[in-house]
Amino acid sequence: MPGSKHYTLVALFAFVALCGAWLLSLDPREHFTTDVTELLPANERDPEARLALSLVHDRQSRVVLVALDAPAGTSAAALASAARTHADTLLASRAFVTAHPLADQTWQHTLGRLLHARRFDLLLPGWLTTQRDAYAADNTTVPFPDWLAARATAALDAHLASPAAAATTELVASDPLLLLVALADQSASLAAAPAASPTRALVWAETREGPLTEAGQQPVFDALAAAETAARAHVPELVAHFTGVARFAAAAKASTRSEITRLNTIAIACVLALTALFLRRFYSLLHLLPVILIATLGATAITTLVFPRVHVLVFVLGSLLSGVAVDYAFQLVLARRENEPYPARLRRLALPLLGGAGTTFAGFLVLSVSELPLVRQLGVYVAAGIVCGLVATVLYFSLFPRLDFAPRHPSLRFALPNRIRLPLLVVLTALSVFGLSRLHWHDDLRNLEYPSPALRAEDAALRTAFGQTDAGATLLTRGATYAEARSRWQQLSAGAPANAPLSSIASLLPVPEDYRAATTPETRAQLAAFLPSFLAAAKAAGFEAEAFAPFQRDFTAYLNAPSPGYEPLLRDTLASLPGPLALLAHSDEEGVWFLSTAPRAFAIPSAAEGTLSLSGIEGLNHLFSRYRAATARLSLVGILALVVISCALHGPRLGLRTAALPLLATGLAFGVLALRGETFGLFHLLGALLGVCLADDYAHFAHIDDPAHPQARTAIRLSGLTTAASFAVLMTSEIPAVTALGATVTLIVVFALVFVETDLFSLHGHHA
Amino acid sequence: MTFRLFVFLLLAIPAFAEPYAAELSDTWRARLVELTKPRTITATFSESRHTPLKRVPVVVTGTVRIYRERGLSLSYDQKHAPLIILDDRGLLLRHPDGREQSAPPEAENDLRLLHALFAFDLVTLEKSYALVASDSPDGAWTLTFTRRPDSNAGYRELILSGNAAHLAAITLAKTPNLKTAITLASPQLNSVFNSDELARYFR
Repeated sequence: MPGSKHYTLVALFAFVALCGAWLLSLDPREHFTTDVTELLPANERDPEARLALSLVHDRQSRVVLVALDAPAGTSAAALASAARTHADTLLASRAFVTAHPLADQTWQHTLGRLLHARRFDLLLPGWLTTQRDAYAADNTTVPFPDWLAARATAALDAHLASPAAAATTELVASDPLLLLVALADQSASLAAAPAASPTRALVWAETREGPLTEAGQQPVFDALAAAETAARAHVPELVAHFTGVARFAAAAKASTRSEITRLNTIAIACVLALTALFLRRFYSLLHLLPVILIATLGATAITTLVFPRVHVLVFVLGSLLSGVAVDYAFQLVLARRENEPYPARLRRLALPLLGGAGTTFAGFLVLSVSELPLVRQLGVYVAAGIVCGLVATVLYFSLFPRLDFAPRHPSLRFALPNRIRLPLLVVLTALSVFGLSRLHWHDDLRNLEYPSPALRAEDAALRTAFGQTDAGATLLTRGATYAEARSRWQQLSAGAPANAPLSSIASLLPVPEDYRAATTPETRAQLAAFLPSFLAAAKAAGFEAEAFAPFQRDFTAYLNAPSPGYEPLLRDTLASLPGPLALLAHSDEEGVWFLSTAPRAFAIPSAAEGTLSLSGIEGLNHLFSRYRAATARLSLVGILALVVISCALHGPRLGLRTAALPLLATGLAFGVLALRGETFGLFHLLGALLGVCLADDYAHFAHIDDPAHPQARTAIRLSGLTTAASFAVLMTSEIPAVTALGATVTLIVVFALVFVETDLFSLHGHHA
Repeated sequence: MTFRLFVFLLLAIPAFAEPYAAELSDTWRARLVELTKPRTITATFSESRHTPLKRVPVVVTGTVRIYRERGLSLSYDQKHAPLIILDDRGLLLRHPDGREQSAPPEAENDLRLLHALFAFDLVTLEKSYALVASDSPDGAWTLTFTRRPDSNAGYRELILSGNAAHLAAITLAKTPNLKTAITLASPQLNSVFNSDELARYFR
């Protein structure tokens, strides 16, 4: 082996060893992620997206709803025991931190006790404000404490005469001001329990880990299976159904894995079949493996060097994109001529190879300044893959200068006569412009989802069983402090229709101004005077003297104790909220928010600050539209770079004709898709960028085409057809985004191949 | 021997299967059949609510409508008072503004028993209440249901009283001083509810 080959071999091995060592030194859990939220910028400026991301990471996403179905005739006691055992088993596992059988209503009772214990701190301020307003409107000379005593007694009398009094008689002894009774009307939906069923028990649980992590999936499923088994000790025929984000995430992961296997298997079969048509020495294809390995290894190492954390989707998409690099091997090996030394072949092919690789490199490198981590990482990965692939191709095949794939050269030539090329170009350009004028863009995040209708149906059924309906809008009100968030919620609530008030945990909390007014020394003194007046008024109205002893005791204690302060009161109260209610408010170093539900038609009043409508995943579509627009701008810069490089390499006339081929192929592909009614999104755009780069490669390779040496044409045909077949397979995907990518690239490659075959742009033979 | 045992069982099982077999005579059973005969009843009522809070009961009035297939509804004469509907699905408060409220789940057991009381469903009542039936020569009668020691029913005592084939009063007592006494007057039997009334007063 000559000395230069030694050096080449050492260089290739050293590169592989370096990249391998670097990758082996990485902690996969720290440097690679499957978390979809990491596809979006961590410092996303859109407030709704930031909130949606925080919700995904928050407790809401860790909720698991379980329904235990028993056969008809099961005793209520056995089903209740099964639910209790199920919840206890979940709690005993490391995977869950909370589990409540909903039937036992422990958490509703806890809420009732909590509100009763803090009724004067939480509810008296709002009640007092209402009474003061009425007092002012009454324009009376009666002192406020006496007026208030008479009014409270009259309200109590009226309440006892109402049909609802039957359920509150025992409560009224400690709550004659009806603070809790009034609250029950306003906030009944907050603590609503699902409808009881004799054959179904419900368990509400919360996992320890987030659903998008490994620890938040399989251990959770194992714990649920163990809990179901344990519950069958009470009801042997019991069947458990559950839903939660973890289930969707796991299903999506499994479906994507099986789809990648399926698509890759079909794509490889197509590529092999096509290759067999063009190459006699089929097994020589094994020589492509080292090149693919080096390109992939280099791209992965460089991407992980640049980014501390990389999403696996980059490798999935990148593996398709780095297939571009394989084209260089086809060109280099298939374009060999008898008795031509390897260095001479390299010099002959240098310009087309550099042109193809350089434009693709530039196009994807531009993406590395995108604000979307997925696009940024993809740009670096493919750009690095292109460089590594080209260098590895040149070096590796220098070790086998006489390697011959023994191509078949079908003598088919479809070159169009010169006179019709220009008219045809004009027609095709007009067609693509017409098609492009009908483009309709709409980004939908759901295009990234693997459709799982059965899972969705079961999820909807379970959520309905838990009383969660999708009939209303979800609103999120934020503030830097509890006081600010509560004040903002008050502004929001004031705009809600009287017959459909907002349902929120904030309704249980006092307005800051009311709280301040209720805790002043003057008010305390008035309330101290009110107590004996009220007891006297009640006695005069026929109430028993000792009827309100519990109220008297608690109210006196309240008046004698110092006020807890607004922020500590709300923080402690919300931290004590039991069960599902704990998810309706949140506080961290960034501030506080309350969730509310409102009728679907409710529009947030313009005066209400700090409230956003969370319309589920659809609400983030505008965000993807913004990313798409930014990517489109970057793509235009990339295309400009492509044109400039092309002109710099080949001069302005040939350079522009070379650059025009991929652009017309892309325009025509978009036009055809638009004319058949396709709606375009971010993944069409990414597909177009890839398609432009592939088509540009073929345009550069066309320069070396020569009828006397048909190898170059065979290389282009083989590259183009195998690429088109691989991407056409993607069109069978269940994931709309992958289908969009496949359709776009396939059409662009097919058009580019047709243009090259017909020499529509008169590119052939310029570097033959 | 086998035949005798068969005959004994044939005669004995229905007797054991009858609710309150020992407490209710044939005359009583005939009276209960008469009481359940009317398909609909409309009557005015006066409701006295005794609570430990007040020295005198709170009295409210209204109209009760009973429809055997659909349950019972109470419409109060007070302004803004909700309509109360009690049927086999539980209790519903229908407010004048159209809002509807269901009773909390913890009240389900008591509501089931109250529905059984109004429907004369003795099989359900017997599981939770002992019965004492009494009547006088002038046709007045009283059925007193007293909570069994092992029952988790909320009401300690339920009393139905009437005259001949008419129900005249219902008393629901949780404690001696926490009870509701409902007196019925001017009952109209088998009056026909039109579709509007059915939609308004029942569900």
